[in-house]
Amino acid sequence: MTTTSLTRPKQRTLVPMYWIMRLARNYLLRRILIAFAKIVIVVTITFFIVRLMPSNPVETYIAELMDQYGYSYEEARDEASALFNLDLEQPLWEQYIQYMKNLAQGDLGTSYRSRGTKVSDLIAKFLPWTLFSVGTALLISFTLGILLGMIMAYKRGSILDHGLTSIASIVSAIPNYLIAMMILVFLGVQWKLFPITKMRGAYSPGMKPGFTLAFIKDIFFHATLPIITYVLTTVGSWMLAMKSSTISTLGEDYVTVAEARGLPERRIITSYVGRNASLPLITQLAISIGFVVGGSTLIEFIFVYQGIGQLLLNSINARDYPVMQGVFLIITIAVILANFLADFVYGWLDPRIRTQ
Amino acid sequence: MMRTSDTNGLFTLKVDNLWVTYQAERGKVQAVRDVSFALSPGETLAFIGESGCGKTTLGLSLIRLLPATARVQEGHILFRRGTEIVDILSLDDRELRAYRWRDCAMIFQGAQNAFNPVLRIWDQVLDTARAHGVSDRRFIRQRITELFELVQLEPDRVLRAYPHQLSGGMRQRVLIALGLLLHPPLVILDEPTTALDILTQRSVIDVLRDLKKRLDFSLILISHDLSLAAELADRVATMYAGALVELGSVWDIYKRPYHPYTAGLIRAVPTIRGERKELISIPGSPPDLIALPSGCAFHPRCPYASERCRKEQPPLQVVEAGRQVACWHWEEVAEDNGIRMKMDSAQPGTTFAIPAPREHSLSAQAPINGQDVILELKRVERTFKVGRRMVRVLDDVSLQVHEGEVLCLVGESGCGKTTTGKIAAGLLPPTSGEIRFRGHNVWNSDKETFRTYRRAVQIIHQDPYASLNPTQRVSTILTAPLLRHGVARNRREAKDLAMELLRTVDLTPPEDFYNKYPHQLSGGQRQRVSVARALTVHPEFLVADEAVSMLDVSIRVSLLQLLERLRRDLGVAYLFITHDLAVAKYFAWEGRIAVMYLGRVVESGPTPQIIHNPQHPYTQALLSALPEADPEATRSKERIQLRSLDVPSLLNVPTGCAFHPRCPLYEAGVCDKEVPHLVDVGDGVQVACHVVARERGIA
Amino acid sequence: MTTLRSTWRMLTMNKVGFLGLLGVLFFVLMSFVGPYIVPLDTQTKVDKIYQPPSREFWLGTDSEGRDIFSQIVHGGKEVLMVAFLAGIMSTGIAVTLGALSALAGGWIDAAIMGLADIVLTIPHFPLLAVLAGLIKLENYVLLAFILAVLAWPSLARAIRAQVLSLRERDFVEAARALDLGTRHIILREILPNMISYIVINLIFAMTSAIYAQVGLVFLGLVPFSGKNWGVMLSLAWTRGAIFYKNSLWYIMSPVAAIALFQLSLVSLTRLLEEIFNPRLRTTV
Repeated sequence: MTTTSLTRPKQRTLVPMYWIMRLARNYLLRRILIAFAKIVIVVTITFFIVRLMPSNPVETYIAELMDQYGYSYEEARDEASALFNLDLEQPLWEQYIQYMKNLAQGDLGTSYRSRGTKVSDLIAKFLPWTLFSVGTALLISFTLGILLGMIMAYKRGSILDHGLTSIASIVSAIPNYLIAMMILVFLGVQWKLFPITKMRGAYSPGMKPGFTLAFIKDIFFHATLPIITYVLTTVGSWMLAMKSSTISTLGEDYVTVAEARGLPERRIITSYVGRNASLPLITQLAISIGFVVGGSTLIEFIFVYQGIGQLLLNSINARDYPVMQGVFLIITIAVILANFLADFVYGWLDPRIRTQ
Repeated sequence: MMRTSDTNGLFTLKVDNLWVTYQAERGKVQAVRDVSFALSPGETLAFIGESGCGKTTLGLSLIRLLPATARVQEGHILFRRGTEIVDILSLDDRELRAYRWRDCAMIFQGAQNAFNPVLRIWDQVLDTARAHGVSDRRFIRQRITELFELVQLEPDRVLRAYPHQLSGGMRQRVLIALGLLLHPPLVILDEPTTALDILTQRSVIDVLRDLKKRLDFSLILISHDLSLAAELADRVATMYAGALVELGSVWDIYKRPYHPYTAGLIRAVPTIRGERKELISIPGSPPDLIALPSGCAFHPRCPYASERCRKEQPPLQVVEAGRQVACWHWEEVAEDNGIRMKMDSAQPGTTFAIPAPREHSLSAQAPINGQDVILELKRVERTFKVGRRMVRVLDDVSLQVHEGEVLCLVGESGCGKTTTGKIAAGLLPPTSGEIRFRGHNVWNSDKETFRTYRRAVQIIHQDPYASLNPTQRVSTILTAPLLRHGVARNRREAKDLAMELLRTVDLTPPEDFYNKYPHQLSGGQRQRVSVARALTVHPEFLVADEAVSMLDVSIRVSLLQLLERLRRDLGVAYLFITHDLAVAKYFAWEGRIAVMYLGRVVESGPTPQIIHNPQHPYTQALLSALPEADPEATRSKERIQLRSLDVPSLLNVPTGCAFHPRCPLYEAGVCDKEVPHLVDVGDGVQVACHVVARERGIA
Repeated sequence: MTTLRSTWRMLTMNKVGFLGLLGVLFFVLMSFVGPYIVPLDTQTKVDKIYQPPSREFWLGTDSEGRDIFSQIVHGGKEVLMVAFLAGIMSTGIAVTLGALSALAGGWIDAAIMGLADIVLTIPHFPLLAVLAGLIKLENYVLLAFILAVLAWPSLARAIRAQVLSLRERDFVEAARALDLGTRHIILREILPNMISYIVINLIFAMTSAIYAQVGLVFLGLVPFSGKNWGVMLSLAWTRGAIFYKNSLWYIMSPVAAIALFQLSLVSLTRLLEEIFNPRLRTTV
């Protein structure tokens, strides 16, 4: 009896240590913990950076009232301070703690500018359109890039290859907003191929959201120009990446052996060359899904498309801190989730990783 | 497609006047020049020759898998299918796919990557069968199971596996089995055992011989390894610069080569049997296939060459029944058995003694232990972190090397010989144990002693393509250490010394090499630059880590001779690391050999003892597994059968004696329990084996 | 003479790269020497609004009748300077931190890589938009620095991986055995093998600096008031220059200037690849 009572307290200190060590060894759990820590760090950094920016919500609002509605400074100040019954006077670190507390409960706060509107509602309103337009574009450009890249690799040295390679390097060298601008100017305004004013927004006013054919047609109509821009500016790098990946796969012994085995050409192209050559690109695809959400600001601005980029831009201009923070949080989570996805997808597609 | 009735007698394959060229930037590479031969049913024909002689191109053209830059200029490749004869070169795509694998299977060099990494073996077997119209799964399964059993693979486990889950030897055997899936009458083997360890190589050779006996097919073997050809071939064809220079039965050719090049090749291969023989090194290097020498392509390297050889190309002519040779002087070669090759190759080079670096103090002072032991490893252990696990790569390794002595470290890949070399050179600290240089414990000494030791011990690496910095010219590579250590006082002096060094390593005239970049040099020349670089700091000890294993046979010998000359003239001692016991025997005949297995030394002793009277079952297995460049010897050799072909991994070293799961002498309850230690068994030999120790009456 | 001739031959053999070099040289000369030759037209000319290109106005006039060509000439310097500075700084940070990470190992390695990870996770363009708010008027060194601070991580990771692999190479081991010293090993053995990679990445860093910089100025997030292609773009946009045929020159001129400069930079990398590869260099 005495021995057990002696060892017990010892065990008590050991058990948590043991579990901590075991948890630390668990790969998935470790990844989740690291991801969580990353989110906290990014939220913290953005919290302070956002508030370090010159000016503040009240000032921008005052300026706007004076500019747009011809208020005098006094009128504007009264109006603004009535609107923003803000806790801006609180010390920064108290605001931070409050924010983190709310965040822990899933509360992203409310917008300063559109009073009473929850940040999460704003995000829910804007995010789907970005996900839709960029996601569709990504799928199109990835598929196209894979196909063209393989063709270029198989026909390497031909005129077709040289032509496609030059086009791919040119479109991927030019900034996407310049391409968007050229599309707008030439296809929209000058040649009038697209009714650009009607295409603004995520869907036409008066259109009822729902799973109706008319609505789906409408959202594709509104997303056409952003999608074309995204496809044009990203397809080049997929093509070039797939070309070089295919060329190196074609040099692999197993492709030569497959030919020596007399396998049908189609089987070699799909299961031997295509599948192996696209492996690294699929990881890349998963990672770029994460950057989709953050990379759309300029394009949405140019086409006046109601996505998360617009929301961010508006909130920056209004110094609407909670909204800015909310957008940052969403984008960060997207990047981290995409990285998870990339690892998972790669492990799933490549048995060399799966079975280890 | 050309079809004619068979009137030319029985042959499986007949090649007529085949010419293949590659289009390169500099011009046309003549890879195969006017090759003609016929292969009878069931026969094995081996093509031998050094890299770049055109044998692989020949093999690829037989199955029409030449790269896009290659073109068959001329010739016919005729294949007999039943009663009809098919010209392979005129097949269309569909016919060609049917011909491949069903009529002619090719088993490639480097089976490591022969399988699609994302498909299971079974799927790839299925792919192959279906491509040739066999789709009955049960039939395919039964057929491949039979073949897997013949090549000693567990069918269920292997079929379910992905390629990366199989070892190199297993993959090679899977490919051989897959090659025979459709009963092809012709199989081409391109370097089937290169890159495999000796014991794995032996299992593949045995499998091939066994299959050859049981199943009826013709075999074309392409190999630079003369021993492999000696063991498997019925007839041998020597290729040089894209052309056939000699063709005949394996017995005749190995006994009495008629072409000086064949003679050179055969005499360049060290053997295990008998006394150590001096080897031939063929002077010069293989010709540039874009600008071939006039007349006989071999004449610039040939001591028999006459005016006629320089002008006229000798045709491949029948000189005896079943014997063809392309040489104007074959009768002279036949008469003196190619002896002249040897006379010309044994040029006594000049050895230049480079001045010692300034701060070279340690070797001048008397060794503190009073012996002439220059380097000593004492109970060295080394672990590495692999993922989250600690893997012990070296366990209790003790070695001694005396001044001017050669110690050969022999073992298969993963046995820890390279790690031992790096530890000996001071490039890697041991996890525990001591390294003593002239008695000083180097990892536990002052900075000066360590630096002196570091400089006194130099290393020559295996891969000539990785051991020189691609961004530096030979001049920089050699003068940087000379200047740094004050061997030369200024650039001019450094240049003079570097030139002398180039001359010492037989890179003459040195002006031709001084300003070159590594990629402008051949493999053998790069290894010589590596040696010259090591010599800049006046080393007393060289670690040569597989320094000759990537070189062609003819070049290998001359590099070995250079290393030997340095030992003789400069008193350099060697830790010579090799997987090849025959090379070890040749280089370390007066020295000692230590055999390693999974991180431990299992046997060590004077070279003649180890080679001719091995004690440890592992050493015996290694020696018995080696093929020899002599058909009679190699086919009559007694082979030791191991209990398992699988090589244990370092991640999972067997308990007790690490060799016990494979050992023919294994005794349960002893060998799997306790680790055996090295014990003296007389004649300076030490063995780590429970059974041997007990038989000798040593506890 | 022969080296000059072979250099020339190498330059002209690689047509794309050569054009890239010419393009970059053209833009550098135009932006840094051009302003001394072409005076900036600041005079409002009400009667000459949105003129098409003519002998007087090579690229037409803007919404106030000012010469667009002179604005292009004067608007490049800032863009090029920011790109160059940001490229140099981010590459410098990346090489230093990447190499340090690889060579030091331990907690330094962990800290640097952790930092890189976090910077990679933070959404770049939005963060830039916020950080740009910190910039006081026309401080392009600060702008370049902010761009650099966000741009280094992926190159740093690549450099770390390269140093780790090069460090294990046989020739580095030989240099260690020869006791050539750490300095020699880093500067003479390892660095020359990475230099082409570093320089090419410097060019790419410059292109992404241009992307971010012009984008920020265009959105009006950076308070630049002077002449700058981005400012031109922004002004042309807000003044509705996209809507009329004759006003197109106003908005398309900076678009073309930026796009052509980006293309020239990317093409230049092809030439650089060749120049830095000794294998290609000596076989010519």
